[in-house]
Amino acid sequence: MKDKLLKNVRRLEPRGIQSTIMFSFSVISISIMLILGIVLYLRFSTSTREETIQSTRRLMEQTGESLEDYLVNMRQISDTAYYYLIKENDFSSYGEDIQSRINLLYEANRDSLQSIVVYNNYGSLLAAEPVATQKENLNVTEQGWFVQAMAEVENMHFSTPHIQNLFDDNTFRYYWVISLSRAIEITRDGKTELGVLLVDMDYSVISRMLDQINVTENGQYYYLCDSSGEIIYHPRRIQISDKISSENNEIAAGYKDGVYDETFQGERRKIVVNTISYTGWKLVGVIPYSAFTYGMIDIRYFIILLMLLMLMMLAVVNRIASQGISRPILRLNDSVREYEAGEKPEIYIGGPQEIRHLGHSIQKSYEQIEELMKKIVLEQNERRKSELDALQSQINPHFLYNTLESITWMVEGERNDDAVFMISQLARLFRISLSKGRTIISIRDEIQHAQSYMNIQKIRYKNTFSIEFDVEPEIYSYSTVKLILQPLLENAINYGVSGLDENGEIRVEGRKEGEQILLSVTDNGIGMSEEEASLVLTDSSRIHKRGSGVGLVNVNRRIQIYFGNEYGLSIESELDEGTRVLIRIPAVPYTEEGTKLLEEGRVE
Amino acid sequence: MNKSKKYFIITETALGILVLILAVMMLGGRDRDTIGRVSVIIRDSDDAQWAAFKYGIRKAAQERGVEAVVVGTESVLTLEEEKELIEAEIDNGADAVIVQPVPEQGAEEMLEKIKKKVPVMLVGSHASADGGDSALPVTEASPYELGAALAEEILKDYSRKLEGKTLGIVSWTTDSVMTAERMEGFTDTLEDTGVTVSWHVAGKFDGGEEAYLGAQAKVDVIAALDDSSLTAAGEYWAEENGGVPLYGIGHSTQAAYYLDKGIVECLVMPDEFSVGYQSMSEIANSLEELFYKTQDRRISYTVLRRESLFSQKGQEILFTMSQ
Repeated sequence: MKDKLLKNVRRLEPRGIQSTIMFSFSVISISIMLILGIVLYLRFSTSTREETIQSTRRLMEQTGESLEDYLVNMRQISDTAYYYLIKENDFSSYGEDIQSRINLLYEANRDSLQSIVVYNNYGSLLAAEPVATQKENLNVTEQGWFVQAMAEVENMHFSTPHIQNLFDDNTFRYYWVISLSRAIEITRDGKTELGVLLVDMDYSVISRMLDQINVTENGQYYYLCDSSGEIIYHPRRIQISDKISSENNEIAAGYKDGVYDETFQGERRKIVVNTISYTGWKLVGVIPYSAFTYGMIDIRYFIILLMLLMLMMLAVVNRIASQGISRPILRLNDSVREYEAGEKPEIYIGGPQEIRHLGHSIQKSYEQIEELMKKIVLEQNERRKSELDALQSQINPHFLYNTLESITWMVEGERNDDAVFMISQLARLFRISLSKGRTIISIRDEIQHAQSYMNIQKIRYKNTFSIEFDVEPEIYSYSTVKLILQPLLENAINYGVSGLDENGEIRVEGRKEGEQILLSVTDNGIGMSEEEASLVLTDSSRIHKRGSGVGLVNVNRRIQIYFGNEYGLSIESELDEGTRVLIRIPAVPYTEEGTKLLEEGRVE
Repeated sequence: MNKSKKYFIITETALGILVLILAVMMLGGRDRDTIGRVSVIIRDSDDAQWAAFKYGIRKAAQERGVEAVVVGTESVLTLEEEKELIEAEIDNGADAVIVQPVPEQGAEEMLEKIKKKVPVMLVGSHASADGGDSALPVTEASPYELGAALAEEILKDYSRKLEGKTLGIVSWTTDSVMTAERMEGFTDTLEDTGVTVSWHVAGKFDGGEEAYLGAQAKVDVIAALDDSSLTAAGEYWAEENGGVPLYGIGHSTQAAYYLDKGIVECLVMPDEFSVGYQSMSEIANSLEELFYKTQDRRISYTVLRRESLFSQKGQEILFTMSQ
């Protein structure tokens, strides 16, 4: 299973250089973009969240201050009515005056006030602004604001919003008010009695204040409740009352000022609480977590859009870059492929410096290889040709004819011993010539071949020259290219001593000098000029007048093919003095392995 | 075309398509402010009886992101006028309509045709002239139950002894399905109680209460089957300084006022805020979901007495009516 998976993954790995570069660039750029996008988004959303909370707090503080100002104003109205109008005056004698002053107070604040009313402790109406008819059969002492005021006479009491149930103004209207009530001392006929001063605030002032901040569409909202959690204002007040909606107001009323996390009906939300002075009311801001992401949706889209556009652009840039980098390599590769396929293209040289250098190197290598190949082919051809020449020399028909003629002549002259000797020498000559097809033989065999040849030639030339072999036995066990002495001896006979009547001498010497073997054929023949001697090894066309036709040039080339250009022949000659041809070859012991290496031309 | 170029073109095309989809989504998102415009067509739309209903409409529209338009109408609306109004609203870009059907033959057919163009929600009454089931969704308090509740309150006050008592009934119209069903619920409940229905007066009184009600024979109890007739009767009896116990179905501050004054003995009050809120919510659902099937919404009612008018529940109802 794991192997299969790895195999599949490996299959996905890009193969070509362009794909590799493109893939790598894409992976890196996508990773960077993703990381960048996510980090940016997280950073942005965190700061937006903080900013939302902070702006909510600021807004709530401002609204709280406005609410406090309004409530302070109401308290001041209540204080003014009580301390400056009611407490100071006797209702019996100054009732009308009190009424008119309360009227002034009301008129000055009518935008935010519903009514100012004074009741005695039995619930009888003493004064009211605006002047209106009280409802029949009304018992205000049972109303909440009255009960609260009389229960704690030292305090002022803010009620929760309710319908004002006091007057009948024939308008079929019902007013939603918040009552500020307090117990007061009323003086009537010089006697002090308890009463209640009621300032009914217009609820719409508070609801307008909060309506103004409840305008966001992201689900964020603000509500107001009293310290026991009873809702004073809520944008979904009726829905909550009808159980269509709900609110965590009772819990929120227990919070101190600050920011809280809560989960309400499966929804995570931030709660910001701000307490209103004097009343203990709580202004609560609710920010559902969905509100944080509400404005972020467009940002999300925008970031994704930006990333997609960048991806598109990067794909183009990556492609251009990868093509730019890989094209010279691919073109070089293509030209090398064509070369490998057997064509002979120009190796591509272009692109950056490194690729150009590579191209040059490959071009040079190929040129060198071609040159070497040509050289090898040429050498092989030469080798084959020289071996053919050598072979031809072995079966030189003239030589064979003359030798056989001599044998016939010996047999006819009953010189049987000489004939036997001649035949045995000829047999040895051919055996060594063939050498089982080998080209490299031991110096011993080469010397023996030369001796056999010279023995035959001596009989043919009726001993008109003498031959002397002075070869150190030490060198017998070294290797040599076969049939290199025989052409020299043939030349020595043909060009050296054949022209002499008698006293022709040919001397074959062999010795080891350092790591080289030196073989020489010296004759005391007619010799040649220095100029002619210099041409012997270079001009092959002039050699074949007599003899086997295998010239010194051939011998020299064969030696150099097998042993290298530093080896070969050298000629020392002087007119009427004689000629000495020196063979210089490396001292390579005659072993199976050494012979094989030399045969393959791999000796170093 | 080599493989690499093919992959490149495929990648670029796929990314391009994604960019286009996102751009469309972004542009679409900009228009999310409102999900549509809904026109509300109710008879005598400026009348105080619709205050709670319109408040409900406004609240639901605000919550659901709907642009709500209450079309101004007169106290009398004919089928033809209603049809013209609806079509004009649709022409002006209304995506849905909330309609109080006129009590005339052919209203159902007309609204069925409208429903093929835009979602329709009926309020107050369904449009079927014969009182049968209608394919048009309706948001209302069950008229039969309202009529029955009204009768039940009368029975309670008379300790279920109405033998020999006489009853007068007032209603805005006798043609409407709503009145017929309320009447049915009312009479069904009072069946076999021995009460006699002396008269049934119907009409938009418009100051002619004296001519209508003053001319009727004296009865022991008067029942008003709708807000218009209840307020008209209340107004008449307020001037006459009471007299006959008045029971009624109503949903205006005026009706509440007469209850507060003691002119009305008992008020059966359908939750008009919920009618507006629920009808708009249902229409908003149909605007948000392409294949949403609008459904009937059944609304509750409250029985109010003078002493319970300023209870918590009573005050909440008055609050919605005072907006």
